[in-house]
Amino acid sequence: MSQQAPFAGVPRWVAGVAAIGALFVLLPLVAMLTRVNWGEFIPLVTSESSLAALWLSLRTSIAATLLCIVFGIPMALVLARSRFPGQRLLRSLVLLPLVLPPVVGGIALLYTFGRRGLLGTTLEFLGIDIAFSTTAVVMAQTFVALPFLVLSLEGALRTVGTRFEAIGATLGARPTTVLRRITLPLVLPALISGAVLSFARALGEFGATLTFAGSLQGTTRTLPLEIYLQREVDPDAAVALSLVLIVVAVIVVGLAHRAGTASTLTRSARP
Amino acid sequence: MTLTFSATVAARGFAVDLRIETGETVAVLGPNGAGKSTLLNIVAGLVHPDSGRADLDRTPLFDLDDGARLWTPPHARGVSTLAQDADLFPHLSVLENVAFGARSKGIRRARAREIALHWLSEVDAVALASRRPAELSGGQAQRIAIARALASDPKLLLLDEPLAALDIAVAPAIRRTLLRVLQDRTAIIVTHDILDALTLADRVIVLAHGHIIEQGPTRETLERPRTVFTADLAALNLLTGIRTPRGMTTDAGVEIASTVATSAPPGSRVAATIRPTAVRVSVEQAPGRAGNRFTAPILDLEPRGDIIRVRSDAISADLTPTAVADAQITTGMNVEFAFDPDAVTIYEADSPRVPRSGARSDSA
Repeated sequence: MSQQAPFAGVPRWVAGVAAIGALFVLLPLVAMLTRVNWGEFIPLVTSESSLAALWLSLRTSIAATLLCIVFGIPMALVLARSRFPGQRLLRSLVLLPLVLPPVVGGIALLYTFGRRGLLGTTLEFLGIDIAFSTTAVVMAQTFVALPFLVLSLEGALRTVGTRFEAIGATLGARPTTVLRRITLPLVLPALISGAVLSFARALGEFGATLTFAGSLQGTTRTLPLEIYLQREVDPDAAVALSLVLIVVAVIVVGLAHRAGTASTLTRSARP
Repeated sequence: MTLTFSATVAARGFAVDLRIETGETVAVLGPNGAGKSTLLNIVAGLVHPDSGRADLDRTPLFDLDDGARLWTPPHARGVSTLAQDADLFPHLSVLENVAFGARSKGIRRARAREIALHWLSEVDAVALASRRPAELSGGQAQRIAIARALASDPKLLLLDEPLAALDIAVAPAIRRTLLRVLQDRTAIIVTHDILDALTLADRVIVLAHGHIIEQGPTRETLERPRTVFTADLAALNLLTGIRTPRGMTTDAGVEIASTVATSAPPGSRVAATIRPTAVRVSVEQAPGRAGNRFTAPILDLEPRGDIIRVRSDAISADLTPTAVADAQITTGMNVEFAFDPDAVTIYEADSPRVPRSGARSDSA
């Protein structure tokens, strides 16, 4: 491969507008960095409430990501591989949480799983109380994060196509074997980047969590909620915690990017 | 491993009945859209026909006749496919690709590895075992694909233009490999290439518009074509008409002389073939000269390797590019096509489906 830069053909004014856009994203981050109280940084982020929020956020986001994987893979497979009436409608509905304001999602969850919700009496009868518990946090996060995984995986499944799966079947592999040995390995990069995106979305979840799970320290008060509350009483703590959240997010985006590059590599490597 | 097959797909106008004996390799020829791929996909279980039934070795592949709804899924049919593109699984090594079929049947890893190595050696590719598909050339990848298809121990092998995507330089070697591995194997090979049919197949089936229009032993069918399409594929001019003592009268009313011995009695329906290389083209018409001649406008000039096929609606001639350039032949020009009586092979056209002489196949 040649080391020379290929002809790019981007007009200068496009690069200019792109630079303005990039500044718009980066400048607030810089502004926040200038407000960090570095002297107090460690005590601020290691206070009991901060640590509890961080720990809760990580636990619930990981749980939500696992749920996204468990339910997202089958959903993406069904949307990408099978055909049934109402499929388009179903896809739009499944992807609804992407465009729905999270607060609305929280209200919807409350009226489904809350004590007075659609399934409330059934759940109460079974002795399960979901609203305002850690379970509710995980559910709120899964609700908003699931579409990210489904969308990314469905796209990859469509790109990869069914030819390898058909070959696998004619070589004698049962559908489950084809799924395990062909389909999933082929879309693994997309699955990883989808899972990372879901994790990032779950980590940043605020509106649905607050509405459906409330804000109880150690039980439902995740890092974004803690930041929002601290902003009122201790702006320094809010800024410090925001920085922590940014660092986690940057790591996550980095991972997603790596998985993304790996996926383009596999695609171009195809004979 | 006898295959009996009968299926229809209304949406594609597909209706085919065929039978393939144990150990027989059958070539399926036909223009694009004739239903060749549909045939293979139905046998493989990737396409559902509307009706019909098929049995492989007395085990049913499907039975959709008389309200029956029997459908054996692809993985349980014992039918492997080798396509134009090798389509090796990109995330598996060469050895894992070849071992895939055996592993899918639940054979232990070590045994599956042995099987894979055996088939890799059959296609002279053991040295490639640890490579990734991305590190292979087109010819190497196709060798591995052959090994992978055979290693799954298929009762029936389907080959869908297995050499079409390969370099001209590699194709002969792969063709030899196929010839070796297809010995005594029941197989269907779809191809556009007459050489594939002649080297690999015992019998040919010609499909057009979803129906079998011609079939028979490979050499006989291709040397004595009864349809324009088959003649075209075999690179022969085909004329049809009535046998006369001197030769034949074509359906268009042209007298053709032939000095090649034939058993066709005068007055019977006959077909005649003339090799395009035996046809001369001249711009000036010389009515006095002996031999067979047609005057017709040139429809197109088709480059075919190192020759140019000059086509009219009745007959074609193969000329060298130099000859075409010297005579300044261009499309639309009225020229005279001439050929000697000893270049005309006449035989009985027993098929009632013989199309009118000179009807140009749209596959050209």
